[in-house]
Formats: sequence, structure tokens, C-alpha cells
Amino acid sequence: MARGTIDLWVGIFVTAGFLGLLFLAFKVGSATNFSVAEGYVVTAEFDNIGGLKTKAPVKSAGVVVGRIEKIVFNNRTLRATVSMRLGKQFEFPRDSSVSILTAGLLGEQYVGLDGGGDVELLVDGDQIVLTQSAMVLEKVIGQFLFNKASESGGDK
Amino acid sequence: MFQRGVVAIGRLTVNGIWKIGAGTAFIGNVIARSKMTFARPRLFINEIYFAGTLSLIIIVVSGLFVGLVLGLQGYETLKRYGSAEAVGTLVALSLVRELGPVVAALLFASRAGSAMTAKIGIMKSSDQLSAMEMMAVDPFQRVITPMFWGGFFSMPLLAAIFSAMGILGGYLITVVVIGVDGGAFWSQMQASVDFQGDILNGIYKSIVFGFAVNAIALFEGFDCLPTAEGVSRAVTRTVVTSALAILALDFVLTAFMFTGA
Amino acid sequence: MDEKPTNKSNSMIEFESVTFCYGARKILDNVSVSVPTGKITAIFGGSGTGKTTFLKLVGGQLAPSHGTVKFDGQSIGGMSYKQLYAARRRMGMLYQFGALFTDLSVFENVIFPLREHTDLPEQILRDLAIMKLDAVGLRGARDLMTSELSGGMARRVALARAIALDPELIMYDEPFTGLDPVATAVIANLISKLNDALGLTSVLVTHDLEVSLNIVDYCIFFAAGSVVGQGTPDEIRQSDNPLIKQFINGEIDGPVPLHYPASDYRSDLGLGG
Ligand SMILES: Nc1ncnc2c1ncn2[C@@H]1O[C@H](COP(=O)(O)OP(=O)(O)O)[C@@H](O)[C@H]1O
Ligand SMILES: [Mg+2]
Repeated sequence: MARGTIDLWVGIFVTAGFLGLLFLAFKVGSATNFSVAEGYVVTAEFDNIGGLKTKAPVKSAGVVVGRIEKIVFNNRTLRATVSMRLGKQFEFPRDSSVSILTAGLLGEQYVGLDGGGDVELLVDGDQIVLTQSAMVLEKVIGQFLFNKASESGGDK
Repeated sequence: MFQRGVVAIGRLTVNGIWKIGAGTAFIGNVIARSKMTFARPRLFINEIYFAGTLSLIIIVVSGLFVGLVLGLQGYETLKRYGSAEAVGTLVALSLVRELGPVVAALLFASRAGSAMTAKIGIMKSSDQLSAMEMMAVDPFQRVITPMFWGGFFSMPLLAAIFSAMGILGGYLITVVVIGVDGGAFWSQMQASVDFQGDILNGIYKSIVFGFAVNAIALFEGFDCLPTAEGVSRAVTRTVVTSALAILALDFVLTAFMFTGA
Repeated sequence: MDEKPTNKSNSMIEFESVTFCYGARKILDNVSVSVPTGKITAIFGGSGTGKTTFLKLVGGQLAPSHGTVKFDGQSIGGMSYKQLYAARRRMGMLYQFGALFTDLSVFENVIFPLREHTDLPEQILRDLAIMKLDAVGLRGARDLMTSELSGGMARRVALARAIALDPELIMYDEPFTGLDPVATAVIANLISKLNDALGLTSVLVTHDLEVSLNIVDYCIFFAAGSVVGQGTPDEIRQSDNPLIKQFINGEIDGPVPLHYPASDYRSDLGLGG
């Protein structure tokens, strides 16, 4: 086959390949959202993280603003310390709170971040104090049955 | 009887170990003699044509059909839970994480890998490689290494094309034909497909598969018995060994990549 | 490239007690022989006596189990990769079935070694390739694909390709096998013409005595992995060596056994005790 024809077809193939890669990067995934590597890290302590995994999203108002980077057990407080990296373009007040939520009834768990009212902003290395643990289904059901049985109507 | 079985197992083991050793030496040799490929882009381009462009049709068509089926099946299942919009996520994640790299590599092995083995095998059995050597042209540098790099370069592109076509197929069947909301289709997909965790890992997989399939195909061709039957057996071995290698490597890579460690 | 042969002796190829084995099978057994420079030397022997093996040892594609193979005074086994490839540039080899590149046209086949080894402009390479094709009488066939060639034509194209780099030594592996008498005569004529015109040393491996004895200057007989006789064609014709006589007269069974070594025939058939 003529050299020119081969070049043309190789050109078409390589272009198609790179278009495919771009399509995957920008239309399917969202490489533009933020670069996680450039964000800042904040930590929070939870009594119970349920099934939270590293790399799970951190969402605020439903928008992905970061990823869970590390989960460790804190021997001193006997709680779980979760480090999350937030995109550097996102700013949150220092008194923001985090809770562990579930996407849909059986979906993946993620961290929800609710902004507070402080004028100072969270910076790298800060700890978020206000946390709400994961809902553990057995506990919720147990509590519900217990409340029903005692008919006391008291909270907690 | 029993003894014969043990002997057979022993022979398989010895052959297997010999193959792994010889294959590793072979691929080391290929990489060590790569200079000519990059000094002469013409060689490289011709092999991209041979491995990549000629595989384009089968990749595009198969990708499209796999996407159509995934979309249809996913929609039927998700509809029951009232989350038909999540079908975009399902199609995209299945493709970029698993089906894209794996199926594209399997197709590549049967389309391009077998052709490489046959070509090398025939060149060997008709003394073409030997004749080249006697012309003081190293067949490794002139024939085998460019084939390797051409195939290695083509594989991730083919996998990306496969995944992209599949996602378009899923879009076609669910959004255009069935009428799922297009905005929700893309947005849910974008929200849950992670660039680093899903797409890049999928690409890494296809790079590893490309390395394995090309190495196997060329080694089998180079190692075949120089007869018609030897070549045909080598082609079969390429397809079978590649398929096993792809699936086994996929398991290992998935275990490393997607278990949140 | 510019270093000219340092060898002053008049042997292009020397085998010094060379033994070669495939696994446990001895193919060549302690062979010492030399091929004179500038002459056509024939190597005769039945099928499977190690003639191709002999050529591959010269080309360095196989290494002897024992002994030394020398090309132009230099030991092939002692050469580095670079030296070996430099030596091969001075050799041409014509394979039994041509070994043409099946994905290239006739012209591309002949120009191949030139392209690989020189940086000359395309136009000059083209002219050189056409000259080589003309030398074998196939200038008009340059645009054919190799699949369109007859056996004799394929071998002539291969010959044009083998002489493309102007080698000093050319080796022919059974160039007459499977050719009709006319094609055989054409090839034989070419071999002898090229040898004189280009000042080559030629090694002609064959079992076709009739044709060969007319064109060669020296003969070496192989049987069962050893040299059983050598001499000029006249000496060979007059030889009373039974091995050579069997070969010349085409007797079925003689000193060269028809049978591959085997166990007793009767017991193989389950007849004997
Ligand atoms: N790759 C190989 N492995 C094992 N044996 C071989 C191989 N190649 C050739 N042989 C054996 O070596 C012997 C000599 O082969 P060869 O030199 O090709 O003979 P010929 O004189 O016909 O050219 C033959 O009996 C052949 O069976
Ligand atoms: Mg032979």
C-alpha cells in the first residue's frame, strides 16, 4: 500500500484514540472539577465511620469538593480520624460540620460538609470539630424498637 | 497411570518455567534493541497501522454493541429501583474500569496478536528472518521490536476508543431510543466516575495488557516450530495464552487498584 | 567497513575440527575443510547430511559445539555482535526457496539490503537495484509481487538481493531443487557468470552432480556428518571411492545407507523373539 495511505489511516486511528481519551477524561469523568493533588487537608474525628472508604467523595451542597485521603484509628480518643483533601478553590468557614451520609438507601457512603458562619476559613491541617457519625442500621432499628417498647417518648 | 500423570505434570511445569524464562529473556532483548524503532519512525508507523488501524473496525463495532447491551440491561434492572438515570454511571463504570480494557485487549489479541504471531512465524519458517540476518540486518531490530512498540502504543488507544464507543452506545439506546433524561445520564455519570480512580486506572490496565499481549504474540511467533503446523499452533497459543494472561492480570490489577488500600 | 581483509591465505572459509550437535545428535563430526578464495566450491551430500548446517555455521547463525569456523582468517565464534554483522555484510546467501520477503514487491526485495545499509539517495538506490535485477535478467519483473513468481524466478530475485551489497562470498543452498532443466541451466549459468564477473568466492550446496560438476572448481563430499572425499571435478569423476561412486551413479543403497538408524526390523514388526 502507498505510504501516504498508511499515514492517513494511522493519522485517523491515532486521532480517534486521543479523542476517545479526551472524551473519557472530560465528558465521562470530570478531570476539570478540581485537581485533588493541589488541595488542602483537614481532619475530623468520628465515633463511627460505618462503611466509609478512602477516596470516597466529600460533598457540600451536593457538589464534590474533595476526597477522603486517609482513615486511621486514634488510640488516645478511641475514635476514627478521617483526613480529607479539599480542592483549593473551595473555601469553608472554620465552624463547618461534617457528617457521614449514604447515597440512596444502599449506596456508597460519603462525607457531607455543611458550611458554618465563621469568618475565618479552614486551612491546611485544621480539624473540624462538629461531626456526626455514620448511621448504623442495626443501632437505628434497635433504638426504634426500644422506644416503641418503652413507650416513654423520651429522646435518647 | 498415576505415574504417567505425575510425569505429565512435571513436564508441564518444566515447559512452563522454560517458557517464562525464555519469554522474559526475549522481551528483555526486544526492549534492549529498541533504538532503531525510534530512530526510524517509518517502521513504527507501519506497525501502528498493522496493529492499530487494522483493529479499528472490530473495536468500534464491538464497543458500540457492548454499550448497547449494557445500556439495555442496565436500564431494565435500574428501572425497577426507580433509578433509571443511573444507567449512565453503570455503563461508564463497567466500561472504563473493566470491559473497555479487558474486551479491547481480548479483541486485540485475536485480531492483531494472532496476525503478529502468524507473520513472524511465517517469516521464520520461510527463512525470511534468517535471510535478513545473513544480510546483516538484525531481525529483532528491524521486524520484531517495531511490531512490539506499534502494538504497545495502539492498545491503550484502542481501549479508549472501545470505552468511548460503548458509552455512546449506552447513550444511544437509553437516552435516544428509550427516552431516559439526557442531562441526568451525563451528570450522574460525571459525578461518580473519578478521573484518577476509574479512568486512569483503566488506562493503566490497558497498558499492562498491551505489554502482555504483544510480548506473548511476538514470542510465540519467534519460538514456533518452523513448519505450517508449528505456525498454526503458535497462533492458537497466542490467543489462548493472551486471554488467560489478560484475565489473570485483570484480577491482580483490580485487586490492587480498586480495593481502597 | 574500510578495513580490507587482513588474511593472506587463500581460503575464504576454514573449518578446524568442527563438531556440531543438535541436542544429542551429532550432525557434523570433527570436520576440517577449507574453501578456496575466488573459486566455486561445491558441497555434495545427501539430504540431511548437514549441508545447510554447514552454511549456517559459516554465517554464524549456529555455533559449533567444538572446533573453530573461520571466515577470511577470523574466527566467527570469537567475533562480537558488531564484528559478526560486519562479516555478514561481506556474505550473501541464497536460500533453498529464495526466502524473499513476501510482503514486498520484487523491486523492494532487492533494494531492501541497500536501504538498510546505506544512506545513498533514493534515486541511486533505485538504479543499483535495477542493475542487480538486470544481472539476473528480471529487470522487467520488478513490480511483481513475490507470490507471482515461478520457483526459478524467485531464486533469481533472491540472487539479485544476495548480490546487492556486493559480497565477497556467496553461498547457495540447493539452488537447483525443484526447478525444471531450463531454469536449472539458467541458475547454473548465473552462478558461474557472477563468480567470474564479480570476483566472488562461491559455495554451492547441492546434490545435483551433473549440472554442478560442469561449473565448479572444487568439490567436497559430505556423508554422515564427515567429509568423505574432495577434489577437482575431474578427480571426482575418476574417483573410486565407493561413497562418491554411489552418489554419481545414483544407487539406492550403498555405503550411504538408505535407512535411518533403527532397531531390528523384524522385532519392530513384532515378529522376532
Ligand atoms: N533445528 C533443528 N533441530 C534439530 N535437528 C535439526 C534442526 N535442523 C536440522 N536438523 C537436523 O540436522 C540434520 C542436518 O540438517 P541440514 O543441515 O538441514 O541438512 P541438509 O544437508 O539436508 O541441508 C538433519 O538430519 C535435520 O534433521
Ligand atoms: Mg538443506
